[in-house]
Amino acid sequence: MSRSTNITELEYVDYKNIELLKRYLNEQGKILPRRVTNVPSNFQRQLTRAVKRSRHLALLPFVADSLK
Amino acid sequence: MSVEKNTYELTYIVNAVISDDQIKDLIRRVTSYVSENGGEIIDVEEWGSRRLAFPIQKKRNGYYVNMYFRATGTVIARMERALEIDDNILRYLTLKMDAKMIRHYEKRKAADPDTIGLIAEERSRGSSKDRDNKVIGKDLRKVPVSSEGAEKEEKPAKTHERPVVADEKPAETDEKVADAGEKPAATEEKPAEEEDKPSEMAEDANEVAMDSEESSDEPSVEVAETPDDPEEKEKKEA
Repeated sequence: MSRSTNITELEYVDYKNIELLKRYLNEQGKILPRRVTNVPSNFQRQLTRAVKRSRHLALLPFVADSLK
Repeated sequence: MSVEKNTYELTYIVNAVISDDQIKDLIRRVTSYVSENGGEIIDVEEWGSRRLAFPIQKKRNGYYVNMYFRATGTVIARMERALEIDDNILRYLTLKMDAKMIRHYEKRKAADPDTIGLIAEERSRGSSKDRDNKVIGKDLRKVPVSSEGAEKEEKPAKTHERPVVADEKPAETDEKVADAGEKPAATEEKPAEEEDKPSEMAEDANEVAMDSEESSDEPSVEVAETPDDPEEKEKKEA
């Protein structure tokens, strides 16, 4: 379950994969910036879109006191 | 209508407060609406009732349904309007699947346990945690040496196991030292392993009870004997 190999294998970031998405959120449920996540821009963009879809379906919170 | 068909993914949240029959009926209606308008249903996955990340229309739980189908674009607009009107649909999300998404879906489908998405992951994780705890509990009492192998697999247990193992080695030689050693170990485990703590406490309590019985027996016998003694003495005297 190493992160780097996981990302390169993914060609589509699924909004249903909330375990993956949670890794790129801070405690409040905010999406971490790319300077922190250090992922390819393509992945970051997909990530952002997936998180927003996930939030719409209440799979992830818009704001949280403490995620995780 | 010889328009090209696209593959779509639709996820919607049904009000979980209504009865199971009503939920099933609603899902059937949505599915049949798509199929009656020339759509081909590929798959309908019901994730079941889940806790929402935030309340929607003052509801904390929702019944999630995830379906895949092929249909013409004109169906989507009408279907979404129908979903919007229905009060028991809290949210919905329709996505047109491109080649990448379809590949991703097929890959997920091929790996069987992942098909039910989120729910399957959570269940497997929860049950494995439970199993780990039980194994640790057994290791602590019966085979302290084998728990060293388990340390590598179970990260949360690491910090808690070491002091206990260290305490139990002298336990084999001297019982009284073990009693003193186990008590601080039990207090350390409080946050992580709730199962182990009461059982160890109970063991300690039993041992303490044994000790107290032994100690209390002696004076009670003495007390019982002392009143007898004068009577016996009186009998002997008589």
